[in-house]
Amino acid sequence: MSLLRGLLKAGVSLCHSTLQTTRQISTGVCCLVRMNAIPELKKVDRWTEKRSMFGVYDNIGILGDFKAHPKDLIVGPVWVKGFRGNELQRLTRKKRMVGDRMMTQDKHDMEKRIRFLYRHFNRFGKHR
Amino acid sequence: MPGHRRGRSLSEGLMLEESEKGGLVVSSVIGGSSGNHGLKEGDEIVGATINFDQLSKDDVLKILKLMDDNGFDKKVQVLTKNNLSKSMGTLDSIKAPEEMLKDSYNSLYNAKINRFMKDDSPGQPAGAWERGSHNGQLASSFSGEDALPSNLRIPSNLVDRARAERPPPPSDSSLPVLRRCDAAVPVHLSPVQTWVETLERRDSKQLGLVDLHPDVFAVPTRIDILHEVELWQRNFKRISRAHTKVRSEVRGGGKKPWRQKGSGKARHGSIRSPIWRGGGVSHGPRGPTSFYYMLPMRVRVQGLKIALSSKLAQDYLHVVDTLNIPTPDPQYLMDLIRYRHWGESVLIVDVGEELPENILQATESLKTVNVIPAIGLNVHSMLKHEVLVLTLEAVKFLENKLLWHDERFTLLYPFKLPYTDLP
Repeated sequence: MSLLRGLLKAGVSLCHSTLQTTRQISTGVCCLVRMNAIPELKKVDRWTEKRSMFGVYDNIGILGDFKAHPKDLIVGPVWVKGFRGNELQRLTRKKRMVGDRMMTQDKHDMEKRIRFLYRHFNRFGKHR
Repeated sequence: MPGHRRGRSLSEGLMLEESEKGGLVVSSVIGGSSGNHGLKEGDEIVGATINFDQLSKDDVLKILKLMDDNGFDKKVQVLTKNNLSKSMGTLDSIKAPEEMLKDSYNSLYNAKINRFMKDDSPGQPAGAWERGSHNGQLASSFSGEDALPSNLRIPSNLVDRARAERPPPPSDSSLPVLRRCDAAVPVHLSPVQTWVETLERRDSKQLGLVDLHPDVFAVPTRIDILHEVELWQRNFKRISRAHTKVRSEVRGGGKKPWRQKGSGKARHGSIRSPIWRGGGVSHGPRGPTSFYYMLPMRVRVQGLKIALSSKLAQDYLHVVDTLNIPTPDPQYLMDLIRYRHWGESVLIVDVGEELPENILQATESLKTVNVIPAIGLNVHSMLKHEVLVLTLEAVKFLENKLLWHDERFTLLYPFKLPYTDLP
């Protein structure tokens, strides 16, 4: 029995030494926070020409004798300036205003989309 | 002083020397270290604190008299029970809460802002507050520029004391009123008044007073209307050009990839369906979308009036007689703004298509100082720039335009088309 005990003790001491040489593994929350991967805040210049002059002339109607309307200031495609609508309304307006100038493939895609949206809005769903 | 401590007394056990900077350095320690509070050679003695808790009234009087007799009373800070924080161990940095606020503001100001203020500008708050409490011998937690972190963002609404001390015009001042209100002021209201200044010389005094109509410049402030108008300004011009292709628009995908049954693979009709990689987007953004809408005209007008009134109420509105500057130098404008403690960003408004060349040249290179004609005035620019500067003609123009909406008929047809009675 004493021999066994001695063998056990030797075995335990061996295990200890092997345990000490193994890698440390942690499964806690702290190791999920990677301090070296936090990105820097992007530097935004709040006083560029565009940002400092934003909104100028928006009241051109009220302060300017109503010769112009703020919707004349909007920069963008013709069929969308001063107009707001859902996709079908925008596409039909585009077809009316710009359709004869469009490229063939784009026009074909647009007509397919109009057809699909008409059927979708007027034949399916709760609101028709 | 001998008292309740054990061991050799402090004054006998230490040898002190004056260092080059004028402080006191321990040159050597005699006797055991137990009675000397752990002092070593080379320690600089900044102050000593006495805890009066266990001493009797006579002892306290003796100590205070000693200090009085030797003329040390200016270096002494007397602490009452209210001043002490929870731990008795931090006796040297305890002050009243108002003083701590002042100290921290002081150190922030000195560290970050003082550099940008000109030396000859009046009202340096740092100097006024340095006197009184601590004379620099006691160490505070902020010690100069190195103590503040470099990525600290100072809020831009830190109080500028010198600005706050500029008084409004008294009702019985000797300066002439340069302009009275053109339109009739309602009986129950009276016109608001401000100074009229010049931009000719940096340190010129006010020229006179000006009357401002209360229905334009003293309107009750409604932040919700300001918010609405600001959102409108941001959104009505917005056109989002985000666009994705639907499965029918993506190139390819007309042919069925493999047969319906028997191949062992899942059944598919086209390679561009939304569940495929590279396929179309089913519910994505479609084409140039606009977010245009118009607020009622009276709401936009009211927004302008509220913005002007709040600028005036917060002392950020200045009236100037003309925009003539002596030099087209941008530095002159910056000096003037710093000297008069106007603020960080200035919006200058004048009527007419031709503005003076000097001011146009001066503000061309400056980012935060901008000149616009009176037609271009709007709520977003007024909120973005801290200070608003109007000329006398601009005030007249704005009052004229904004007061008309209070007493007009409603639209029959758009104002663009001719009316017989519109001005």
